[in-house]
Amino acid sequence: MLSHFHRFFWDGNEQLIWINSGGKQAYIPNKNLKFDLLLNTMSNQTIEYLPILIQFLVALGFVATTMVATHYLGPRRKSKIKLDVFECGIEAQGNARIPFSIKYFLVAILFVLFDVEVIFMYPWAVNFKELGVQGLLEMLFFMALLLIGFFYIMKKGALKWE
Amino acid sequence: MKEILKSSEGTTVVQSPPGYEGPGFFATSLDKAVGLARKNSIWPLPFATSCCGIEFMATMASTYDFARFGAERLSFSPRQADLLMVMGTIAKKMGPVLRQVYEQMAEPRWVLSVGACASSGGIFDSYSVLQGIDHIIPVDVYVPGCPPRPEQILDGILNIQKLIHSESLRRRNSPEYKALLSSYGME
Repeated sequence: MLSHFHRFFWDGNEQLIWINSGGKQAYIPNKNLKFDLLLNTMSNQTIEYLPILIQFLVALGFVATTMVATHYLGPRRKSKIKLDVFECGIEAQGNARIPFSIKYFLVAILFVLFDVEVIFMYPWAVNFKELGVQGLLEMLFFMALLLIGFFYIMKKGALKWE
Repeated sequence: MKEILKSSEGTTVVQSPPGYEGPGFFATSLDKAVGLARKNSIWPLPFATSCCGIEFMATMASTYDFARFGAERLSFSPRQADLLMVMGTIAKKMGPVLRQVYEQMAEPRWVLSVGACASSGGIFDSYSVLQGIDHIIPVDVYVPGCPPRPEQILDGILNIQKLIHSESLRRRNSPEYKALLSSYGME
């Protein structure tokens, strides 16, 4: 963040004093009255967040400009075949919006659960020696908790496909 | 702008287009700026049906490194692709599929025909093989060879880049282009 290294002070008269990381002072002459009025009304605390606001505006402006520009720059051709469903060049058959079995959803959610468990094991494996026995016990406890859950869903029959 | 486009090794990767340069600014025509951007960010759709496809895999791999021309990302959906790379024998039964893939690509789109089979039917002078994909879709650049070496495929890509770079922004709405498409029975 800019405020960690640079400070802006308003000396109340004509100049904005800018102290950079080296402790050197620089004077920004008063040229733009509107900007000065804006700074005058803001406290020092608020001014420190000004770069963030500017960055936010730039980000927003970039997205808006790009989206509008592509609509004007890119050529467009809307034929029936172009707007058709893409099915690897073969004519689409039937409707894609058909009911799917809820089991897909269940299996997917369970996959995410155990996937996250494995992701947690990576940093533990990297720092295995540093974490020592305590780390091992904590990891075993964590895995045991999830294993209990795993046996629970098995008993509930969530993994039975038929 | 020329300084910005220099790579870390200090060699110029992309030449800035001709334009007006001054301290702190660079001005050029929109055509040239868009052409430069499009040329160096091709998203190819590899339509590989036979041995030219194997050569294409070599082109993508580290030795020939297709990605250094800005075509890092292959698109397997025509929706996001700029360049259709047809590599291999296209049987007559495959023709409508290829045609639909081409038609479902977003404008502006280019076609590179790689190898003898895609360009002319090659050795398959047969009842079942399409004698060149330009019977069904317009082709921009042909790469000869049976199969062509990766260098030749890269040469074809560089020629496609030249076409993209010099294309006018109005070309895709011009009557000539519409006439070209309608000669292939496309809208």
